[in-house]
Amino acid sequence: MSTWTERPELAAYLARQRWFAGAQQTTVTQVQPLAWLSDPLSNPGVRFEIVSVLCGAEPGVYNVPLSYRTEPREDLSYGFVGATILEYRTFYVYDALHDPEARAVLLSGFVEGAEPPAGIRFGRLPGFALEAGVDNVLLGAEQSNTSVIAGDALVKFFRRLSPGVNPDVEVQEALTLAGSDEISPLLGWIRGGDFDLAMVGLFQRSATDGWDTARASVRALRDDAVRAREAGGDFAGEAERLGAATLAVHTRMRELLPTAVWGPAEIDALVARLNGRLDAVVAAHPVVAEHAAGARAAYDRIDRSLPVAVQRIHGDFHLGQTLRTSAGWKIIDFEGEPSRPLEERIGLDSPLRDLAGMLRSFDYVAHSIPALTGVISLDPSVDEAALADDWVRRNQIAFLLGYGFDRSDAAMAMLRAYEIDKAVYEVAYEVDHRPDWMGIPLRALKALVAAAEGR
Amino acid sequence: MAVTEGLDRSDADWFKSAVFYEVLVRSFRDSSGDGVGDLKGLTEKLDYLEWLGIDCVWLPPFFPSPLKDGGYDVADYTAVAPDIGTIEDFQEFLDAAHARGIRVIIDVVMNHTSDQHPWFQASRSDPDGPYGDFYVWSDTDERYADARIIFVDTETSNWTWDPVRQQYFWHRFYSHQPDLNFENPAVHEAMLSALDFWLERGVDGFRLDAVPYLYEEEGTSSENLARTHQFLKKVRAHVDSAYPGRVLLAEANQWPADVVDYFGDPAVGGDECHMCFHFPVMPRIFMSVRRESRYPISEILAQTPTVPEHCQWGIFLRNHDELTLEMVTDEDRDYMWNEYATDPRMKANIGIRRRLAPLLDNDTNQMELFTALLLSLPGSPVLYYGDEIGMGDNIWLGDRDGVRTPMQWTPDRNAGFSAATPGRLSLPVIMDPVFGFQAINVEAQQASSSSLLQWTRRMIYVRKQHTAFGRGSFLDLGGSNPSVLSYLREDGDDLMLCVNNLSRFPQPVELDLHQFSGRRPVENLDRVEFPSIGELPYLLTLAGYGFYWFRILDAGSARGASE
Repeated sequence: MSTWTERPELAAYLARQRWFAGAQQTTVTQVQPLAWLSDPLSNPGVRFEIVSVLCGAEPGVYNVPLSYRTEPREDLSYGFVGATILEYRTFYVYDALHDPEARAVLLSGFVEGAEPPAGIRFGRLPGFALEAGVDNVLLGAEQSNTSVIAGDALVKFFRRLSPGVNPDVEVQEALTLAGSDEISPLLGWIRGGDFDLAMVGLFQRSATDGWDTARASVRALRDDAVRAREAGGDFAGEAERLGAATLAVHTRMRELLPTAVWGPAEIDALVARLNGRLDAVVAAHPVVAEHAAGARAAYDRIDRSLPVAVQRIHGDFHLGQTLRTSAGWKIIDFEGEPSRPLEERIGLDSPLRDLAGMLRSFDYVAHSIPALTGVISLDPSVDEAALADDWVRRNQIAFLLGYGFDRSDAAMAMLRAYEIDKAVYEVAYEVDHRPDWMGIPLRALKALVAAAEGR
Repeated sequence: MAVTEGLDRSDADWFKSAVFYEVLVRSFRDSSGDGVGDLKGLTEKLDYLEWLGIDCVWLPPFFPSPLKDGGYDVADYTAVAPDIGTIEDFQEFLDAAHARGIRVIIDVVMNHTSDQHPWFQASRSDPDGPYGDFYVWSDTDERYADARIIFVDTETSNWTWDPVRQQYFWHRFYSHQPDLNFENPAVHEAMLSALDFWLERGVDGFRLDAVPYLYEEEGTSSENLARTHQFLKKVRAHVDSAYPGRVLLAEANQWPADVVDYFGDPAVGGDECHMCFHFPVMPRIFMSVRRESRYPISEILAQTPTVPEHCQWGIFLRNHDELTLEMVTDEDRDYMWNEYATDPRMKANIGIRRRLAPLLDNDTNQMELFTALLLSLPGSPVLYYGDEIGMGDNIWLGDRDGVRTPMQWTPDRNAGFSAATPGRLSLPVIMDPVFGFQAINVEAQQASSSSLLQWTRRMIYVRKQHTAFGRGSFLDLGGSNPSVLSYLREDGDDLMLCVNNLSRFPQPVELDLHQFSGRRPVENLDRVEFPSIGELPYLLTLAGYGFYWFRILDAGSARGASE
């Protein structure tokens, strides 16, 4: 059926895309086209194609909707994949997401009364339908998805696929149906074969992500050179409301999705996992070694005698996963840490892991600006790092206050352990990708280990 | 009879696109040299208001009054306080304003009178006489216990014992301001005939002071009651039938969702007040700039209901009162509390009586940004006299007098306000080196093309060229930068894009404008064409506190035929 396995064009196209993970020599091993969404001679003929690849030895599965045209189109050349022959006819094939007419076909299954072909399901949550012929526009490039705005809907086409239900769709559907105000509601999804191919959410036109919102505050702080509480750009009110939104989402997830309680054996296993990750990082990154003993001691302080309530959590919680809208904070992207395997991403864990992620994010955002710009104060007596630390402390406390965090010894020990685990991971990431930023998590790791020891 | 030929009486919705200007007669211009501003002086200065582009002047109370509450304690609804003029002076002023196309609205305090009002004097001394039932009297001070006390700093109860009548009287404000009894039909008649007195002379409308409190009911907060709304409908019907084209502007310092009730029934386009002040938007503007975040403004506008078709909000930056946080919902108070309480600087600025310029550290960029917001957000802008030249205040004067000092016209004696001996002025002119009249005055700013006054005038003129500002829809565009507030105002073909940098730093912003793909924004102060809009996010950069007003041209009209 498909010629892409014998010919280089599709592999070459994939290798040029930002959402494609492989950096090495890529070969397309299998292409499984789904049913036509429009007749191949209707210009464009459109269908989803599930593309299996090998990058070096690494296998991957990608969602590549293609549009087939009988004449070449100059204006679509950015998304041109190659020419191919189907049923004795030549077709010019384009990435359907870069072809406006093809995008309309991809979305047409969400119109009221549409009858998509067998094997492809367009799920619509109550109240959602697209108007026929609604204007659509492609959003800029993203790491792992391609997003399209159609009316008030944001349609996110997953590019890298895992079999089964995408955790983002699963969690957001449950939260949306329960009426959660603290997420951006799910409107629908596209499922084909064994895969979730796309999800539809409300397009939050008025939103800015939490990372940019917090950076505006840090910028104002640096200019004022005062304690965070006195700064015009104080963020503590926002941090507190974000804490409250996080609690509301965690509570809903606990009510709607699986939960469990960890006893001594599971807690031992957790500590073993934390130590295992630490060992792996220390082996590859000697810069962490001097803090390893302190980190292990902090992990050991987790109290095995007290049961730990675990549940589905966000799993990759940081300021970039939040949106500040005119109707308050919204938490987004429940797919977990994308680099981890699916079973780990949907595994149960303590919600304190999410809190630790956000506490680390406050530290990151405050210190990222000096990391980018260097010291700017004209007054040598101003200690910018100390002012940033003060901002971090104030907003971490406000966030935990908004969450209603219980500051018992057991909870604090667990939170510290998760923070240290996160900081260790961050050091490894920065050493590999952004050595200039390594100082941020390293400095935090040192302080966290010291705090855990009560120093 | 009243001169009205300068006015277009056919446009009943004139107030939707009007620029209002609040002026205190006693502080604007003293024509007689007795140290107190007067109506003749105000008439002298109408040329200035016309030059500035003002459409409607709002006069706070100028009636006879013991002046214990800035004239809001009225002792006679149908006369002029003798120190500022006569009824004839008022008529002359009104006719001269109309001849210039300027309308005039005046304050009416419906809820209460001064205790010096003859009605109250008659009511307390002759309980069985014609005015005996004009006020709310009671043998006990325990009725309506659920009504809160508004002026908690000075009052301990809403009831005060009257030793003359040997009964308690009801007052929602000061104890020298007894509430009128709207249960009594004679009070309705008296109030309507007071309105008629001024409407007959040609007044273009009323600002209705303290409207939520007209009626009391046991077991309620005695605010926003159904019968209060019924009475306002009665006033509106009366004004509409006898004097069409006049406007009622309500002061209801309540949450917008409650205030919209004062517009009346949306199905008929509104049948109570034509306009209501939007109170929360003002502190939110200050907060947004302090926080460098658009959300305080975006949130309050998202929570503001649509007004009926023939209605409009009134918005302002400063007025003769202090900026108040008292009458908002608990939820909003929590929000404001979170943001204000921990910020001593913001608390101090918002809680006390200051003018715009000193509040903004006399920073021209911020004053221009604030004025640009005032002139482009939904609602009709109400300017406060003196803010157009960046006047200062005098915090050493008592009560609210610090923001009521004489208008600064010239660098001459008494700022050109009065020929009196300086010691005779009812309030001293500002004399400090930064805001004093030698530095800040109309004459100097009229002579300088780069002054705040000339800038403000130009902005008012640009605003008036676009119906989108007064009558158009509002859409918050959001965007990638939390410090940049961007919105569309649209009325038919008139499409304006306003982009405001709330931060002191330069900022970029990317806006999703793809629905206007192929059209071209033209910066509307200097008519500079910007690049055409495409499918991709539209990138703009702004200087610190910078802003743009763009007109989005129709496709194809960006260039003239000869180009």
